[in-house]
Amino acid sequence: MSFKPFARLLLLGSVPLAAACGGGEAEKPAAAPATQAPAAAPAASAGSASIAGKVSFDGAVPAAEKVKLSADPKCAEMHKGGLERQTVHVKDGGLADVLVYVKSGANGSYPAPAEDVLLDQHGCDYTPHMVAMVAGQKLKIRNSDDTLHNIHPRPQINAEFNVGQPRKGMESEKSFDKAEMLIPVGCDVHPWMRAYITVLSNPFFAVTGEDGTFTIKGLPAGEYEVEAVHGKLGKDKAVAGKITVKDGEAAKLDLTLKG
Amino acid sequence: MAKLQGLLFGLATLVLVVVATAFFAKEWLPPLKSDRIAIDHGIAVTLLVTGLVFIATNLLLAFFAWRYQDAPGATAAYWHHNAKLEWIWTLVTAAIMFGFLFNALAMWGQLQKAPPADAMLVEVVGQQFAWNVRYPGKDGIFGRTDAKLVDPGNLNFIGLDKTDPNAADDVIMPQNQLYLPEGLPVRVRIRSLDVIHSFFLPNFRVKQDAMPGMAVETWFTPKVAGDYEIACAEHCGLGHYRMRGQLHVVKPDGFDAAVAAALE
Amino acid sequence: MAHAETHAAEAHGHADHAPQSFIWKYVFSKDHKVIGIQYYVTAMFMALIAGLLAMTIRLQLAWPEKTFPSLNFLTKGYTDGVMNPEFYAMLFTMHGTIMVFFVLSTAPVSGFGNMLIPLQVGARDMAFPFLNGLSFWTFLPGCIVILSSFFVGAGAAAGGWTSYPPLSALRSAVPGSEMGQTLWIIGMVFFIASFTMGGLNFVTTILNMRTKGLSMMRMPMTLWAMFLVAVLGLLSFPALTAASLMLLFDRHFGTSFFIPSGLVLSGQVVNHQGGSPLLWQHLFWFLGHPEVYILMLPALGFTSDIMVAFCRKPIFGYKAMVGAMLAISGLSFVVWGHHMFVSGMSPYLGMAFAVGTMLIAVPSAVKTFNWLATLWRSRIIFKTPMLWAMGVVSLFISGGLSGIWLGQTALDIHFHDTYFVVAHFHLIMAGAALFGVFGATAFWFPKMFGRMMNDTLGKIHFWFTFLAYYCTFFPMHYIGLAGHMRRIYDPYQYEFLKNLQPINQFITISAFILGASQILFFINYFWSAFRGEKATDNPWNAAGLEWTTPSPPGHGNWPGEIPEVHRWPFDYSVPGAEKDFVLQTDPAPIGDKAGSH
Repeated sequence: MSFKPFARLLLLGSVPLAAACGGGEAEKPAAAPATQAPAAAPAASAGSASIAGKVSFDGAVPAAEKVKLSADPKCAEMHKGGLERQTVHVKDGGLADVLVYVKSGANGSYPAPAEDVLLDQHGCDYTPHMVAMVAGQKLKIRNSDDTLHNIHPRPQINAEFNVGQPRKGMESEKSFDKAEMLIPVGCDVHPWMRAYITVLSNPFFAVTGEDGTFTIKGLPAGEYEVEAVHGKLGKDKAVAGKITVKDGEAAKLDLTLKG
Repeated sequence: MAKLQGLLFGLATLVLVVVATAFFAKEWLPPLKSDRIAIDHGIAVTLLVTGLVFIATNLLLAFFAWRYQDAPGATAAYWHHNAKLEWIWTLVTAAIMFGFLFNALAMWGQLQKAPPADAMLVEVVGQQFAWNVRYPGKDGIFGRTDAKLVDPGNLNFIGLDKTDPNAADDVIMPQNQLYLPEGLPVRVRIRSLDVIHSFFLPNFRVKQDAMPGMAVETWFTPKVAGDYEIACAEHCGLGHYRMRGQLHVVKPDGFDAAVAAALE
Repeated sequence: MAHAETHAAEAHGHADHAPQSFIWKYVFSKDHKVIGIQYYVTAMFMALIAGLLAMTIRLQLAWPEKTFPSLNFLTKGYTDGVMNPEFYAMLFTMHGTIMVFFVLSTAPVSGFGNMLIPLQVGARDMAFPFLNGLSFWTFLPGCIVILSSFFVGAGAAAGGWTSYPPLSALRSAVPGSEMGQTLWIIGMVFFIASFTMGGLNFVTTILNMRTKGLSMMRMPMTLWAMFLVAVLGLLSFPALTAASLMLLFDRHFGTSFFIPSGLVLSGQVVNHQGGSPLLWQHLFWFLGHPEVYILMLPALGFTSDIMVAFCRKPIFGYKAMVGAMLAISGLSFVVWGHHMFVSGMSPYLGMAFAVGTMLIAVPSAVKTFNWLATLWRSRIIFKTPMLWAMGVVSLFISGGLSGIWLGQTALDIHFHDTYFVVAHFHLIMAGAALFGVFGATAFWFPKMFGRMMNDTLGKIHFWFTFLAYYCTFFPMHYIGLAGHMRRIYDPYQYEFLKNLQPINQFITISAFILGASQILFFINYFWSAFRGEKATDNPWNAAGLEWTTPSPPGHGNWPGEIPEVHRWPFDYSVPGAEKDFVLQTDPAPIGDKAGSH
């Protein structure tokens, strides 16, 4: 009986046990159009300002690809004609899956929200493709497919991990300690799978929905530099804008990423 | 008690011999679908010889355990060498071993000799955890590949340099799909992108490690059209157990159509 | 018989005095017997761990579709009752590593070698007692480092016990390739350092400290085995030391000994160039193949020495037996490439290694025939040690014959990395070594603890182990023929392996019985060590020099002068002798050429 916590401590090193009790409730897959910041700002630093806007795409939109999934018959079964993949997804000029975050201006330290962030592996693809979270926040990785996935992020700053999930419904919990932009995440079993995880030091961020719109909520009044970055286009194509918000105000900020 | 122990040892050995013989009489090898029947013959001959030695030595062991037991009045012989006997069994064993050796080396030579000039060329590149199949196209020359061009996000798994003229007609199959024509010799060029894999075709008696940094060729002739499995036989990481490819052997006249359909 | 067994223990010129305090007597001891027992008990503990790893492997192979929530306490191994595939890789890697190096090299060589060499050569202790103690205290940290690797980072090494790069060299290649693999290397370096100290001691003691009259050709087979094993270790382990350090440099300091250019791992270019993964395989197997004989030779030596005592008959073909061991040892250095027939090395090289491999079968066959000839017209007394010795002969035959299949280059194409190989080496290398150790334990127990092991319990343990061993490993030949690959977490992903699940289940159940039977051994060992029947000095009426010491031998081994040797240790049922054995120290002019061996 007393072996378990001891072993856990030894095995997982410095994972705070107390935090494991929170966030038991599973989140729904992030399918809502304008994905909110997965975590509301913690009470201590909560403000009442918000920034909303739209990220547009300026450039030639590459054609959608059909990925043949015959590498894994289980995947092929789920996508009979191949997996339709649009890494640069544009609708009404708006670019989806763009991370919009406060790059500078949010000083002070922000504890990790208690809620988990979910990265789902479903239909031999990741949902969502852009994951954003606060350093120290829990990342829940779920396998919704009846096949092996291994989740293998390749960070430069944070510790790398590589976890196999051989069965449907398996979940693993991981976290990143330090802020890092666009950590590529892949599955070695299905080399076409690709997602990006960004770890931030503040909770003021949002990921654009299908139409390119976003809303960052709970900002304290102040002057901020806000940056939009897309996984596929990369850090070099990121675009930043300066904005000042007052308490209770809903500011507007539109950004354009070039292809 | 000693009597019982001796009997028990003899009995256990006998049961082992009987069970082993019965099981080895069954067809365990995956059905052969290539021209490498020499390997099956080699296995059969080896089974016969080693099987007979196995039975003979085990029966002797069982017989001695049963026969030469301590009992009142029993004595042991003070007998500890016999040069003639020892030379005989040493030389007979050596002769049998040399027989096996020459047979094996002859077979090995056959398998390793240069492939026929008309053999079809195909490349198989292992990666964690899939097989990438590429045909050189009409020019018979593979286009250049470069590790820096590998981009799984853009489905360029082997880093094909599309600016190379030789690459223009290279045919890259969907991963884990290998098509071969029936009855034609095929040269398989085996490479690896990351760690050691082993290209294993159980039905074809083909196994060749995919060694990083090397391109190793092996050749054989598929004999029977059908769908078969490609296995990875060398531990290559956590997904090793399901690095499973599919080999489709098709009639030669339907080959191009089958490849085209797979790419569709 | 005429030696001075009635002399008082004191007053004879021991090199040093027996230590008095507990810590110097039993912990940091320099006494070869205590060190031998320390090695033995540590190896036993490691065997327990490695055995449990094997049980977990078997559980997964038989029922990969089931969940085992009760195993969730292994937080790294199981998630929701499902084994993680990377944990499976850690299991077989560590099972192999621990069993080969920390159990089956340690128990027979370091354990019994230390225990028996001074007793059989007629010496007060090993040549370098301090080095001997140091060797154990270098071995123990190695064990701790290896075991601790399960608890750091992503877990233990997961590249297989052979640690083939780039899987073991690239830290992102497999989860255990992070800290686990580094600790594996460090653990191995400790082990090799310890084994080298032991080897120096063995060679020196056997060459220089034999008592008067004990010529090389009068040595028992165990001594010959220990001598050759020490030489093999000294010559082959440096290759692994060098390779391990090169691997360490590749992993942590950016060198590229084993990593070629142009690699891409998980979509990222690997920043190395110019190395060769084949180089590692050559270096590893340059050790690896002599290593399997390091495991086996002691067992073959024990078997001969035990067999004569329970056959009451001299060993048959002593010179041929010694010659066979020498030949095996020599040839073991030129066969390593048979592990690499399909690696992509030159086919001509494969041919050369096939020659060595087929040649080594000849001395092995000679040993088998000589054992059978020893049994012929003997008078077998079925005590526990004899059962184990006969078990070794049986396994040596079964495992040896499958070697002929694998040694033929062309046939190896089908068998390489399948369960046929697993069956082969578990029967011949692991099985023979394990059975040899069990036999030696029962046989020389009186010299360890001055007591007898319980014979009935020993026999029950033997029968369960013998039958379960065959039931576990023999069917692996069949699934190997069917093409079942090694190191597969879930075999039934493959259509051509699906029908083999019942056999895998049978193997697993047998393995569980095999594992559970070992409880009998642990009970017998520890119970007998403290409560067993008191042993006389020579309870088996054996002829070897070690049986002239008291049971257990005190500090300095012989209370009086070290006896002189007058014959070989195999004089049983000598015509004209009053008993059915003549001690090695007996000067009586009887036996073959009056004991002139």
